[in-house]
Formats: sequence, C-alpha cells, structure tokens
Amino acid sequence: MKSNLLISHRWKTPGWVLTIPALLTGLYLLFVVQDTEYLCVEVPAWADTFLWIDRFFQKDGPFSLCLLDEIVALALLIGLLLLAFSREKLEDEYIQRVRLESLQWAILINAVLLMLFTLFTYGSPFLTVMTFNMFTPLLIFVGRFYYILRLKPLFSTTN
Amino acid sequence: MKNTIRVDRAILNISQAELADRVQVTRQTINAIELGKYVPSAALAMKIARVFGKKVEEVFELEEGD
Repeated sequence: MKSNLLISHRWKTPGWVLTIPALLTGLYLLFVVQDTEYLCVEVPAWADTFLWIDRFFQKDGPFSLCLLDEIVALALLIGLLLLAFSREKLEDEYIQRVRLESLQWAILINAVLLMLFTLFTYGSPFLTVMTFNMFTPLLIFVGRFYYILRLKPLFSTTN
Repeated sequence: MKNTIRVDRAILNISQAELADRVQVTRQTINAIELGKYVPSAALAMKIARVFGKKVEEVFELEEGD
C-alpha cells in the first residue's frame, strides 16, 4: 500500500532521541522548577518587528528572550512527528489500519479531554491545559501506535 | 471471518514468522489474523491460501453476522 506522507524507517531513532529528553525536560520545567526563564538572550530593539510579543516593562531598547521552552517544545514536536510519520520496517496493511485507528483514538481522546478541562478548569491553570494540548494529539497517537505494535504482542502468547 | 491458518501452519510446520515472510507482511499481521482481530485484504488472503496450496474459501470462512 502506498502512503506518500510517510518518511524512511531510519528516522525512528532520531525521533526517540529527541522525544524522550524533550518530554522529560518539559515536564520537569512545568512541574518541578515551574519556571522557563533559562537560556535568555538579549535581542536588539528592531527584532520586535518580526516577533509577536508583549513589551510591558521595556517599551524601547533591547529586550530579553528566554529560549529553553522554545527549544524543548520544538524538539518534542519534531521528535513526535518523526515517530508518527516514519515507516515501519515492513509497512503492511495491518499496520496501516493500526495507524488509522491510532489517529482516530488520538483525535477523540484529545477532544474529550479538552471538553472536560474546558468545563473544570478556570483562570491561569487553563494555560497549563493549553500547554499540554499542544502535544497531546501526537503523544496519544504515538503512545497507542507503539503500544499496539510493540508492547501488546509481548503480553499475548503466540505460536 | 473464521480461518484455519493456525491448523494449516501446523500441517506445514511453519511458524507465524515464516508465513509472514512468505507473504511479505509482519508477524504481528499474521498473529492478528489468526486471533480474528484483523480481516486481511482479498490479495493477502489469496497469498496466504496459496502458501497452503488451498483455495481462499478453504482457509477463510464467513461467520454469522459477517
């Protein structure tokens, strides 16, 4: 079966290498240190022409940007995309079906969680919900896909 | 759909992995078909039947409700 959106199997390893450290770092920043003011750089004043940014405190002059959270978020998104879109060694029809089902699960669970959190979360905690929501569709997809193909066969006896 | 793949494999004395290899799918696919969790495409069903030297209807059978 042709599936043109998929990339080579070789991207699996880079995918894991990006995803796992980025996920752990992200959770650590969000819940343990509760701060993302790291890797801050001074940016010249003209740069705000190209950025969508609030400058509450310093209306003029150079300003500071903290890049660790950007790096972690991009690493996590790229890593998850590599895992989600890389071909299995032998991409057969059953794997295609697991792929489709996992995508459906991911969209459904994500929407249900979002509805629940919309009802039960108010004020600034909702920002945390939104932060998670940036990654949950891909996270649920990757989790379900690899669970069905790699982990579940270990529990069921075969042959 | 019911199928007799497990029995036919035993007759030929080949493992899931060997059958998977002969019809160019993964072992998980053969396992899912044997457990009745996945109904293969017509093309794959015919390839599997050919390995056992049988007709498709002899390996795969419709069930009530199919």
